[in-house]
Amino acid sequence: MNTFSMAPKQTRSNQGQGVIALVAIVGFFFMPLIAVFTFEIARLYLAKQELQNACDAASLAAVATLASSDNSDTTTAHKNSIQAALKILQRNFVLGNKLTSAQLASSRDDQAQNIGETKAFFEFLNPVTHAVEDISSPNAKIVRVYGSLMGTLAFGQFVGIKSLAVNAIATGAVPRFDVALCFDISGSMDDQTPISCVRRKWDPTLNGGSISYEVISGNNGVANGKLFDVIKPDATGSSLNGVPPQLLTESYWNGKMYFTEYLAKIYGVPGLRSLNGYPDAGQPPGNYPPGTAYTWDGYQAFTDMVVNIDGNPTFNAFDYQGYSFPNLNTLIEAARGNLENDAVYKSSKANTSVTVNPKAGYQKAYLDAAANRLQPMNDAKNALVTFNDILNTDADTHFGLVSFDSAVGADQNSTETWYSVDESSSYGQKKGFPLPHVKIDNAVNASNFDQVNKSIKSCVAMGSTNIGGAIHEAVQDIKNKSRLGSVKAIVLFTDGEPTLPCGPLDTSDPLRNARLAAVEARDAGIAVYTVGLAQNPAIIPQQVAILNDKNSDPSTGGIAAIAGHGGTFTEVTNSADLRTAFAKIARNLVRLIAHEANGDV
Amino acid sequence: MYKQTSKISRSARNKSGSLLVELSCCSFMMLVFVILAVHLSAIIFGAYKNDIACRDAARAAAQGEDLSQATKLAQVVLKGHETVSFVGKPVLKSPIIYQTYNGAPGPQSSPYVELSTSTEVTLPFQPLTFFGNAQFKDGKLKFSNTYTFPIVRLK
Repeated sequence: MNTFSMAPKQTRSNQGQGVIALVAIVGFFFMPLIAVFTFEIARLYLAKQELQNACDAASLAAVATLASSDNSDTTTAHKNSIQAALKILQRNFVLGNKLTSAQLASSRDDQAQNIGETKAFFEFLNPVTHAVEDISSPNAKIVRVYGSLMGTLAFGQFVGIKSLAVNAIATGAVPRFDVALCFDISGSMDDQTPISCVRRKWDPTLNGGSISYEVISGNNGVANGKLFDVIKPDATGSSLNGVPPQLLTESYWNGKMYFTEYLAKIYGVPGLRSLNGYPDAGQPPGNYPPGTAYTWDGYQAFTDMVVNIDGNPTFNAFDYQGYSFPNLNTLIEAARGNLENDAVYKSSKANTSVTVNPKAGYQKAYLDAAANRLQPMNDAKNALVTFNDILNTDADTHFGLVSFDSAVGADQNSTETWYSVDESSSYGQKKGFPLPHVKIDNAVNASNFDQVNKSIKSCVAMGSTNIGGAIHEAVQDIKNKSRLGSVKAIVLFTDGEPTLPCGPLDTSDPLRNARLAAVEARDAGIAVYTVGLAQNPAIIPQQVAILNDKNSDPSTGGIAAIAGHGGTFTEVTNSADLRTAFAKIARNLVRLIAHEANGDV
Repeated sequence: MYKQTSKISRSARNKSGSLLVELSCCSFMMLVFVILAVHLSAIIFGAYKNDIACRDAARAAAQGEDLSQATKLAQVVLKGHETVSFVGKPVLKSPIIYQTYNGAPGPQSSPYVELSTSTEVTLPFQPLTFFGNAQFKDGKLKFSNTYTFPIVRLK
């Protein structure tokens, strides 16, 4: 009985004590250990997550800086992007500690060694091959950041483990772009060019008989200075151009000046610019000998308009590539081609008024120097080329170009026919002027970068402004030949607003025509980034109304807003600011692409 | 017989008593462990929730075209992170730093937005202070975090 009575009691007691002891051991030893271990793991994982976010921010900063870098030197652009990214990294926190002391690592294997230390290594990849590229390479377009941090443990020091390394990898890249540039080359695109309107005539009393050159006066005063100031056109600008096609009769609006050959045609009399019409190289003034042509004294009439290639409102003197232009007389004769050789020099009577030695190439030198002075055309060209350089340096971009006036060309070699001097009087050489249309190509390596830049540089100012037609063509190009998965965008540059003639979506209302084209872009998933250059404050309200990114109403809104998909509108009042405006657009195109396990982006 | 019965009865009572003591001890300790485990989970969960909310808010703010829009975007994102649980609403600490360098950052600078958020986690017992600058107050553990992200879309 004792056995019966004692045995169960003894057994229960032992077991109970064992269980309590076991629970106590687990509770006071293993559970805290597990809790501490869990806590440390969670804390380190949080540190890793924070470091990952900091590296994401750094890689995005690097890509955005690269994309907006106004620098086509790839090494400098990449170094700048690394520094900008490092600054962003240093502003972030991991476990409450600011990464102020984060520094660049020398290689991927150069990781943080000391407690609290943070290092970041930047490398650039080729978007096609995914191979690591040197920072001097134009193919280094994907940014990869390797971050390492030596994190302290909260309890590890009690068991001799004070720190553990935390690593993160972030990859940033601009996505593949298919970008079509719509470039307004309408006549107003050279309205800031310094010009002189001159009446060239024979003066038998001057030095015993010589050509005289009179800068005439129009309704707005003496006709030299910026074309815009000489003409004072309406808000949409002047169609008068500094270089061919000059459309000299357009000086009547609003300068009330007359091209002499237009007057001669109207009145049915011989011309003062040239007695026998065009070509006028080697021809003396129409009134040589006196009485053969009317000199239009008392009229605000001129025979020649030249670009002041020295950039001044009143031409002084200029040397260009070995050709000397000591005065306005030389400028006029060189522009006509009267300094190409001794024969034309003498037959044109330029020898009575110009003292330079004639030689072949004078006319070309003048035209080249004049082309360099065309504003805002030149600033716009430089800004567009810079924009292309940026995107080509920083992203896998395929380019397209739709240059436009009232029309859009069919291909890269398209031209528009004009008389070189004046359309209204049919004066000058009738020839084609570039209206290039480079279509986006989805073939591998068919970026069109060189063709587009070359085409941009070939453009001259002419015609009116069919914005809707240009956007419509750009949308069709992108829809037909863009790459799968690419970011599609249209960048529209204009210094005006839509004008007649227009089409093809509406042939009577240019504004509606433009908005319908924006709707096409919207429906095709294409953002339209608009840049408006206002040479005249009067154009700003109209430009804002048609180009803005705020009002998306298809009937009354702005092109950027109607097209949507993140497109923006930038108003620029000084052409020198165009580079910045386009650099911002390049930056706006940036997206962060997630890092995939296999390294793909 | 009586004695035997009494011994058996005492033995049974001892057995029941032992079980009760064992169960009580074990239950109490397990309760403590469970509470600690719950607190640990809450601490970890709260820290992660605040971190994710802060990161998302900073990313959203970086898409804003100005301080006002950045603030709105951040607040919208934080609203989306609100839950009805022991983890409180993530709150945007003001002011947001919105640095654009007047639209013209230097070649080695990137415009950025910097914002901080805080989230309170309600705990029944005073916990330890972990996870950076978390602070204990009125039975609540407060987590704060700050992120800086580059501004991509400049006006």
